[in-house]
Amino acid sequence: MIAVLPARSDVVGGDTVRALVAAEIRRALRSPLLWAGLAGSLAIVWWFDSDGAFTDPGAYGEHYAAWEFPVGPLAFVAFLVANGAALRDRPPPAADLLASTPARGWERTVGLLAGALVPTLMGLAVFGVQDTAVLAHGTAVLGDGPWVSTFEPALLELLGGPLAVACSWVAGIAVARLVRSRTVGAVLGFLGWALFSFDFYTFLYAPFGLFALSRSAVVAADLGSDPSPAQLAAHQAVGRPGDLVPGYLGLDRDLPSYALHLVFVVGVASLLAALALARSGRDRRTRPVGAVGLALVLLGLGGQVLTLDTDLGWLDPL
Amino acid sequence: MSPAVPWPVLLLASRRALAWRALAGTGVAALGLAALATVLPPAGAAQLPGLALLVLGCGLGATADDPTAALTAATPVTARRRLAARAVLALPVSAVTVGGVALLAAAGGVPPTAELVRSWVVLAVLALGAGAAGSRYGLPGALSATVLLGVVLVLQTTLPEAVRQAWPWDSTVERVVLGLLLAAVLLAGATRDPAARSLRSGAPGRRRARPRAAACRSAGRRSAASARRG
Repeated sequence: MIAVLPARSDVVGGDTVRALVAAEIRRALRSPLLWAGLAGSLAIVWWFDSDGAFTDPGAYGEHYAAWEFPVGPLAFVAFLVANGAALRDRPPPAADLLASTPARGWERTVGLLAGALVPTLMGLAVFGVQDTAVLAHGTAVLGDGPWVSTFEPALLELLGGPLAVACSWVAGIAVARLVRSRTVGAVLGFLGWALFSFDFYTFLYAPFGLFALSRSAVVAADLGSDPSPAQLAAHQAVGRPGDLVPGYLGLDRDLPSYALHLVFVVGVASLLAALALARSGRDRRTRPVGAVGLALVLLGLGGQVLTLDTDLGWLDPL
Repeated sequence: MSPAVPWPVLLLASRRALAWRALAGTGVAALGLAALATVLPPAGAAQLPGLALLVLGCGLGATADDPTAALTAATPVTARRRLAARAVLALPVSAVTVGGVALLAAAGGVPPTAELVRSWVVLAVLALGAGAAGSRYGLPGALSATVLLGVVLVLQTTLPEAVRQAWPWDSTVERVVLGLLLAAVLLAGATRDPAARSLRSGAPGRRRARPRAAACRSAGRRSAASARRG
């Protein structure tokens, strides 16, 4: 309905946009579903901590390599809450009433996008707790058997989860602006969340893994079933056969490629925001958002391809 | 109950109320996910049939949506019977899709087992229950089913081994029974007669409570005083 609302030629005042932003943030803060997602994410941090998931040696998918896993519930509900908020004006009478307010659809979408602040800060809180829990044990552990390395989580790694949550929120709004159905939004949200975020481990092979919105700084390389001692020594840690691939996995923390992954996530969020804004009405400020998003996506993807210290052949582990 | 409306007629009438597009969309998505099993290595492919079942379940939740509910609440056919009719129409479609998922997974080196069928049964009934519960409170059935199935996925993936092996659910049979029980409770609660509910709990249509005697007396005194004043 927003697409058919009358567009206003004059620019809506900054006060109106600020009021909308404040209102959407307040609404997000009052969402019980969002708080339930935060509780779920914190519960996973607690379970992982009590299981020694990050601080004991183990399989590839069960420790430091799954660093962003706990943010899954929060990312999921962030999509659903944002989708529901963006579809608030779905029934025709609501759209008609909103047409007489000072803000156009574009400004209302800006307000909704700003609501991402709430789940993003929640994601930061989850990772703050997780970081504190890991550091309380000393360090995070990567690898299995005799091939183990320890790491202190870098500051950069605290950003991945919150950014994934923010991207999920923005995706919820973009989907609502494309398909004005809560049913379609819920199903698409579940699919996207499972494929690109929560079940990213399933798709952590080239080239699928490059498009994951949630992953860790650990990069894997297939060492085959009978690696030489030199091959084993060339990596910071090694995973036993059976994780991701039948052979051994060489594991390394690769912070530069992780930083580029984060650039990619920010780019995707910007592109989705531009899509949502473009579907909410004409405004020349939409284009820079989309251009920046596209540039960041290309930079993130291209940079990862160039800097990843692993083979990027078809279905090689990442 | 509505003995006057035989099942074939009810099924025919329910055909138009069913969310066919949601069913078809999730069916295609589930088949697409299962087809990925033919591409991914075994460690990744093994996860895909389960994920496909969850996506199918999200679509089944939409079966609980009844766009005619506001009107048909006053008809002799109960909400429970109408939901059953829609489920009877939707479940065979979902079952055929599960067959496709199994075939594609087998082609990808993940042979289907009885576990797949068992999971589908439990997830389908849970999705119907969650969808019906959501519909009753004005939420799309697919949305509430998606939330429940998302919780199932998160719990299944992240619960510590010690919790997974706790006595109430440490065997497959117990988990299936618990899942079916939860679905039964959801379905029973969500398909209660809305009119019966409103009589008891105070929704529109309840009987007006009698005013307290003291309130009646004070109101009477006030009106008498105002009458004396003229």
